[in-house]
Amino acid sequence: MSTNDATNTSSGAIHWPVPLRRAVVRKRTSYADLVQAWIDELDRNQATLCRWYDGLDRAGCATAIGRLRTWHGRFFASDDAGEEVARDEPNTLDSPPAFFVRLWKGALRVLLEPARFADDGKPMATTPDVLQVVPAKKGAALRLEQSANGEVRNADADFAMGDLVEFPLFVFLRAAGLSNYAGLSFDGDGSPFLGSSVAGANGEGEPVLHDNMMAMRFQLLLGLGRGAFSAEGKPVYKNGKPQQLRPHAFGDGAKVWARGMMYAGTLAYKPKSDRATIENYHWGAERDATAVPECVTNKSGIDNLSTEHPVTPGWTCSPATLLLTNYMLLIDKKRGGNSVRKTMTKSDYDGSTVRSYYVDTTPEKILEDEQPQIDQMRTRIETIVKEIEEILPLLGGEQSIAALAIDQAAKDTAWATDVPESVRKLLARRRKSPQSVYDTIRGRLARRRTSDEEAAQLEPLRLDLIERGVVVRERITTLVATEGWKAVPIKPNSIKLKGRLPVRSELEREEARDSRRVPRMKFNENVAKALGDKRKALKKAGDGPLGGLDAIAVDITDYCSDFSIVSLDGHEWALVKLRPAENLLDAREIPRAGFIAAYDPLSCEPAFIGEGERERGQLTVFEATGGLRRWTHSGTTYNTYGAKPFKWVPLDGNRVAIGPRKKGGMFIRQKARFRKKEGSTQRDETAGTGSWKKFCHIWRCNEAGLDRLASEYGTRGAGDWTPFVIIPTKKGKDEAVKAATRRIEKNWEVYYKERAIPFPTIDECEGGFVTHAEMTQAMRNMIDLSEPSFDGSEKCQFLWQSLTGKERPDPPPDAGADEICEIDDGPAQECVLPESVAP
Amino acid sequence: MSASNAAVAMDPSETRTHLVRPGECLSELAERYGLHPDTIWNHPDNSELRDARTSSRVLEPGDVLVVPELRQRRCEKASGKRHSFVRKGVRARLKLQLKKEGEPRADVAYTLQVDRRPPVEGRTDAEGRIDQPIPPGARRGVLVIPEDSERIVLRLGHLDPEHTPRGAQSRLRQLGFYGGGVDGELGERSTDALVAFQQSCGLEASGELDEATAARLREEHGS
Repeated sequence: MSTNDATNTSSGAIHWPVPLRRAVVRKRTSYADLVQAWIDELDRNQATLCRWYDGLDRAGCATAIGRLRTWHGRFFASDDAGEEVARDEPNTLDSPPAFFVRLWKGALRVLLEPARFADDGKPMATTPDVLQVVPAKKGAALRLEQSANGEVRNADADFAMGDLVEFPLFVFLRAAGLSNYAGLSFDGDGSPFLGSSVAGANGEGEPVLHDNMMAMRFQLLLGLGRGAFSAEGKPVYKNGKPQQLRPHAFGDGAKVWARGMMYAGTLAYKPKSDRATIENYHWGAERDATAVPECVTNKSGIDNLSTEHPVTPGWTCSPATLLLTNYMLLIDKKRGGNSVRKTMTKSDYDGSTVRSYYVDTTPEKILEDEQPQIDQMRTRIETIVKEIEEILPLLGGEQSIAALAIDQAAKDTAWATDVPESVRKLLARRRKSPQSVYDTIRGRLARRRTSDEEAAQLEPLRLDLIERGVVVRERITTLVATEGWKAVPIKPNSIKLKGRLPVRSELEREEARDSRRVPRMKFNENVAKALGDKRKALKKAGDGPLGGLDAIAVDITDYCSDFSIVSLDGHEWALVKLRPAENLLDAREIPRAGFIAAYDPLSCEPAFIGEGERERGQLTVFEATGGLRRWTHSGTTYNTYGAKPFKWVPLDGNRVAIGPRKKGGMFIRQKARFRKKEGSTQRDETAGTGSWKKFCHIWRCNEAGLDRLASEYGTRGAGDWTPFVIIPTKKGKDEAVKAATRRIEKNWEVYYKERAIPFPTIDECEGGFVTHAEMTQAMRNMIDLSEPSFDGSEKCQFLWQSLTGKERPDPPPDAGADEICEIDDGPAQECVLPESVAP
Repeated sequence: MSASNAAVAMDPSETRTHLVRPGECLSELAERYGLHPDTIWNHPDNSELRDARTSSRVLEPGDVLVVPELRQRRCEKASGKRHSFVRKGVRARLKLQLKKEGEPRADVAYTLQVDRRPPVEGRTDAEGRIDQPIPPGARRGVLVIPEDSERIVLRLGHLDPEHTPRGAQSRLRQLGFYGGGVDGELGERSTDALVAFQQSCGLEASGELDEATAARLREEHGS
């Protein structure tokens, strides 16, 4: 084999979200290398292609690859090469079909482009027939010449991190002899996220191309959360320091910053138009915008923003999970179809913008097919919740175990019935305090004047409680020893708070010594007294199988479906099980719906952290968080307004850590749960829920599943989803804001057809969002005593604290008793819907 | 008063040889030596080369070409008048037929720039042909077809004979069967291309550059 026959691959520069067809660029690469990577990919997977596409055989593949190589060799030929031709004699130059790739610009390229906007009222400038030279701050320029349908036409084009390209697989198939693919071409208005990247000539009956639309659809959500507002100059600040996400973006000068927040409005259903849309529902605002500033957030959230940073509406947990479940799972008859379509028009967007991943079926059929899986997942979730509840006492130490044991006893109707009435009443009164129950029994037994008859009645109760405690402990021991559970070591400085569990031998020893000398169950004190300093305590505590636990981590891979919505008390979060994108190649038949896979929208790094997870599926947290406070004023509930961090974090080992909550119950611990690399701005646990659940479906353990969705929405055009659009929040009379809003509204289709992250940037929304400074001023204005409706009550105090982080030194007098605000104890997540979108 | 002017003519008895180098062809050499191409090609001492080559326009590097020396020729003309002397010769031409996937590219706009001369615009004929005069010594051309964003660099006169590895690679490449470089080494990709070509022509798919294949390559390519 000659040297020229060798291939020059650059697969490390790209990632294949849809193998053989669609790729994203991880680092700067040339056009020639990009196509070469496709050639290599095709060459490696000829058998797969032949399996998927009827009529395609290895000979056809070889021919097509030869044509592709020929085109590559000719199109990217250097001036030193060229075609050797004869003078004065005929020469035939038979060109192969052109294999131009379709480009959707990544966030970095968009940021680097000198101009992205047309004037207000005019469509965004497109790039046909124009050689756009995009300057990088350092290094060579990004040259780009695109045709009207988005094909890259200049051989010296460069591709930057974040670019999304689709290769002309239909040209390849045609070159391989499949003539039915001859009528296809890239759709200049199409989007890979909507299944419309390729158009057919006839509109009906086009041949099918393989796809992974589930992954692309999920990717759209990630783009919204992770990359919609990425900007070079406006990074997320954390602890006063800008957080750059990408270490090697492009060249050595350009940087991309991800906001890591969910933007736009909230998923809502509009009865008037009978459709669901994304709505901004003015968190914390009354309809009269002059009454309360539209943006009020708490200090910790503000601290993560620069002064002039726009503060945007965000989604909290419920809308985020709603969006995920509804957008990904709710099926309607219009979504669907082939991944090849004729054209994409605005009416298409209006009517059925989301393509189905289930072809030739109905919503009812989908639900029927999915129901077993739904039921199975629900059962699994219930199982894990039950096991967690059993294990929780371990985290509270011996006291909690005793509490559980006594609670079990208290629920036992036959327990403590064979005792004098006085004792039974005494115990009944004290059952709310397990320790008191035990102490009561122990005290009675220890008391000298207790009769032998009463002691004989009480002693079995005491022993029963101990026995129940031991049983609970053993059960916990068994559970924790189960594969998948993992103890999280306790921190040295909290060792004193943890107790050593009683073991049977100790109890038996005590019993043997003196049945009347009842051991107290305050092992915390015993441990602290016996072990002295922390180091010894830690060592000693770690000796036992259950000692020294701060939390319990559990591998929940098998408990989770592809989408698992965990509805906790006051918080919802989703777990998404990702699969390697290349698994698509294992499909026996041509895949179109595919499965959930993902890459980072900015860096295009595939979303995997370990080989184990690669096999089992990588669980990632899809979550909007933020413990923004809620309060009630004059009967209306308000929620603090502000940007909510969006988290999309892989779980290391697919484990979540379960820890105790302050007021009992359980909570998935933030710090243990997230192996975060960046991004978190708030860590508050949350409490309480709002009215959202009355309106929108949340997939909970003991609720109906998708069938409810179908019954409530399925027949009312619920599938008519518009693609996501960023909606500025300042819809006042400000002309600049109006202009920004109009630009976005008019150009949203262009975003889809031109961009790998089809949303406007912060700059493009300039003026549409309030800034930190504006919000601060509004806050100060609002708490001014001259404003009669905010008279310095608790609400004002709260707002002041939110703004300054300090208690106001001179709280104003309570001037209006009937205006006193009620402030909830805990931070909240939910908010009522405004009247305009409430059903 | 008469004047005598010198002219050149062939003297078969006086010759020299020229070792053909890559990129050289007969028309270029004829221009360089001031001879008509046929004068060189038809020289008796080139009979062996003529037998070996199917075309005078496609020489192989290493070929030895016998070039006759120029000879003086006397021609008497009257003084006091202007006389025109026309040197016989043939202008070189670039002849291309553009196809796409086997079909002629009819009426396609193109731009051709030869060496550093001003670019020439034109359209292909109904058979997709381009026929443009070029300087005999032109070495490089750039053909641009805006419709398909094609830019083809042409190395004029570099085409080797069809039976040589380089010549075969060039023809396979221009006929759309080969995307590799032209290096004269018939590697795996070259062999695959030969097989594909042979299959398309109904020849035995041996992957070998045999005589029949070479002849068919020349026939399909035109040179």
